[in-house]
Amino acid sequence: MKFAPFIIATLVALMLSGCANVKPWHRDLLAKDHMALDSDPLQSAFNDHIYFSKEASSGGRGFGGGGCGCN
Amino acid sequence: MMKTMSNKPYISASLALATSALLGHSAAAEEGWQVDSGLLIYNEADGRVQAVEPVIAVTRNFEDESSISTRLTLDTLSGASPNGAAVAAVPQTFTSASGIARLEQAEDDDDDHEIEEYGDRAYYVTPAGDTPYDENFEDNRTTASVSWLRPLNNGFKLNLGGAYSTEGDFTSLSVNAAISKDLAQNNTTLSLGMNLEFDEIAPDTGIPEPMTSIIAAESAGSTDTKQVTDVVFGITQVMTRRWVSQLNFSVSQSTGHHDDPYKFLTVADQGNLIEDPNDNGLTGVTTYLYLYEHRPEERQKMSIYWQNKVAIYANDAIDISYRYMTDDWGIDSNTLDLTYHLNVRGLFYLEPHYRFYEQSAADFYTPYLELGTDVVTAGTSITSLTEFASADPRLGAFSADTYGLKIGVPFMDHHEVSLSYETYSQTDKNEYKSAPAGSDLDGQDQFAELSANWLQLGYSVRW
Amino acid sequence: MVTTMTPEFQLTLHANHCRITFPAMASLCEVLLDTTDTQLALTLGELARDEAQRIEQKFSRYRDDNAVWAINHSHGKPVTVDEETAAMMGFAETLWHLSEGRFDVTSGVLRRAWRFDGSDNVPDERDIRALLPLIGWQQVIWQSPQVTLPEGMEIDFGGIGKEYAVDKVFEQLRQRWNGALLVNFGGDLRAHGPRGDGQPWQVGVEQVIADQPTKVISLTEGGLATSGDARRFLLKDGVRYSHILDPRSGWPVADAPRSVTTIAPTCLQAGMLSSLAMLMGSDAEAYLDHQKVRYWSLR
Repeated sequence: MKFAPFIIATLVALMLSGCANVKPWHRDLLAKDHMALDSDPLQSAFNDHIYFSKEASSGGRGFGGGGCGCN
Repeated sequence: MMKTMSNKPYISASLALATSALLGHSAAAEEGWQVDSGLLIYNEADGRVQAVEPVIAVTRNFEDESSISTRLTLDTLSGASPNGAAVAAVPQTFTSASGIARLEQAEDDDDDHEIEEYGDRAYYVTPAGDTPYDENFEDNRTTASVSWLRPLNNGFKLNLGGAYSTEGDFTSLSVNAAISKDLAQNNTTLSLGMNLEFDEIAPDTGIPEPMTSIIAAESAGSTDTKQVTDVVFGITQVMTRRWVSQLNFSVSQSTGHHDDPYKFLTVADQGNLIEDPNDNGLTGVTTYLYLYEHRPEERQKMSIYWQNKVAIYANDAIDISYRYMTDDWGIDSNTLDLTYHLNVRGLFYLEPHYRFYEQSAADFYTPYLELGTDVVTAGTSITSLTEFASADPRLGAFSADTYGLKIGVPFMDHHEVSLSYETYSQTDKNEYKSAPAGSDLDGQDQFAELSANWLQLGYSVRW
Repeated sequence: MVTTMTPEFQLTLHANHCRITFPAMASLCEVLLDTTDTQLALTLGELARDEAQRIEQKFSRYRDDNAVWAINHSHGKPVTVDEETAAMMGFAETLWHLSEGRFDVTSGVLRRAWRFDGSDNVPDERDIRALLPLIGWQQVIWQSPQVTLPEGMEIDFGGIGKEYAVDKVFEQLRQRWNGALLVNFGGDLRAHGPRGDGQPWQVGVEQVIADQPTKVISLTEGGLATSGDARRFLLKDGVRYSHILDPRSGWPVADAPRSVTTIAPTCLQAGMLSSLAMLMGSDAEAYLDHQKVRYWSLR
């Protein structure tokens, strides 16, 4: 991953430029429930727990609520 | 720039958002309660683990946009888990020191009930050519967590939380704090969070001394601990009217006991299983040499997570996320997750889902240890030349696909019921460790590919 | 609406509540507090008066010492505004988009042609056409926090200011006191309840048509606003010209209701919805039905 720092910098710049300054009345679509970044926290928690106990990676979105003896 | 007259657009939502922005709130505040409940039914192929997990979460939202949330999860697990020994062309009997001790005690006491109870646990047999599983895996875990969100001045928000989890042989306590700031008319949110976790492991057989024979019963104590610190920095950005994106950087440091006290590795001499010099001759069964695994006391992980959610038409959406993780155990992983939210006539929604995962093996992952190279014996003494080794498939190289479908049905104003079914299957990507032709380990499977499926039921209500 | 002379600030103690009144924004402003603690009422009342007058001073077009004056006298040069004014500008822009151009804070210049004094002085079409080039938010260059207003145009927050003041005063009082209260600036109001006796606030809405009994609305929580043409109209040849002007034509909106009263979570939302409904003319009721808003209209 030699290109990692370059890729990260590009992603950050892309994120912060935000393409367009989105006007408040244009956020109606994003306000819908299914557009939330985590629209079903319980399901995400179930899935995160399953993958945490079967794989070597964890997290990404944030951090889970509590450890377990499963890994 | 002026739009042509559309047929009575619905503006209440946009007006509410605009009003909140003018009055200096970051989002329209709605006071009320929310209860989310769920049930997970999980099943692995080949008679491995089965679990049933109910969960309930209660959230109270306040007018000032703060909220408190509590969650309770119960986990009942049972079934079989690979014990780390290699598949061999001969049957293998696994004895457990404490199992033997209990059985001997029961026989001395002439306690039929105890003999029946522990008879199974003293030893179990894996047929030739099968993956060795420890069948007696049963556990119940309870997790409780609480979280408090509070908006502060100037667009800052504070989140504090804690969690406590307990199961037969493991207890975990964690606290977390995060702060976030909204910028650019709420188009950008920066956040920084930290999680501190303290775990204690207390296996019923005690902590085995790593890299020692499983029947030698060398103990390193009855309990051990580990501490984990996670830090996450995130940027959430509204890119366009339809597209919101989140980029998170996380680092994690874990210090303490990482060994799985129930997992060990086969020691082979030119591919053949060796009798354990400590064999105490229990009921005339040949017990082979297996050494308890050992993992480093430190683990540092770093990950980058990028998620994008794009609204399609008026009511559909696509969710794409990618995560890259790397750690100092030599494991790198890539995860790609895709979900499409399809709204069907406003009556219900479908969410087909696909996840791709791949990981490389840990540096110390090996399907078995070699006599002479990794381990030497002299009489009854066994010395490991390798400091760290584990055959736990979770640390091996593999890829995995998940396919799933969820259906959600909203009803009666703020109620929703949902059902989701997913299947998961792993594919071995490890380098094969060849054994001499004709030996016990020659040509045998070296990685127990996991297949599992699960069903999730959910019910939410808000008022 | 009361037009008699009122003293600067008045506090009256009633059986179970205190009433504070003061003039602001060309209206009688009233704050009702469900308490008999006059010291508390005095403190809260003064807070309300100070905030109302602060907002009036800041956004009034009648003053020559505020940002609005600076913008309206900028002769086409860019002006940088503070956070609150920027928020107000953003809100005005949103309203212009949501109303598809009917709600336009640059339409104030039309008052040079229209004087709604109940007479029959309907202006000449030519006078109105001369003003049209000076109207239209699409000509405003707004890039927060900088606004560039072309020469000859003017910005008037009159249609937003009062409702904004009601909500701001309401929030200030709620932050300091948890009891039931009602903030009413000349008919645009916001309430928090229920009252001490468990009852909602009883709000009397004056009816524009004579002989109609005052309508009483029960309000526990939220905002209420009325848009109407009670006293401001022109009557010529039997045709009534409402003071609600469509900025795209310069003429009054045809077939607007005599009055529209709406209820919404905030006074701003109630006020904007009633204004937008009036601007829809004959479609006012259908428009409000579609927005799923509680309302009353009179024709």
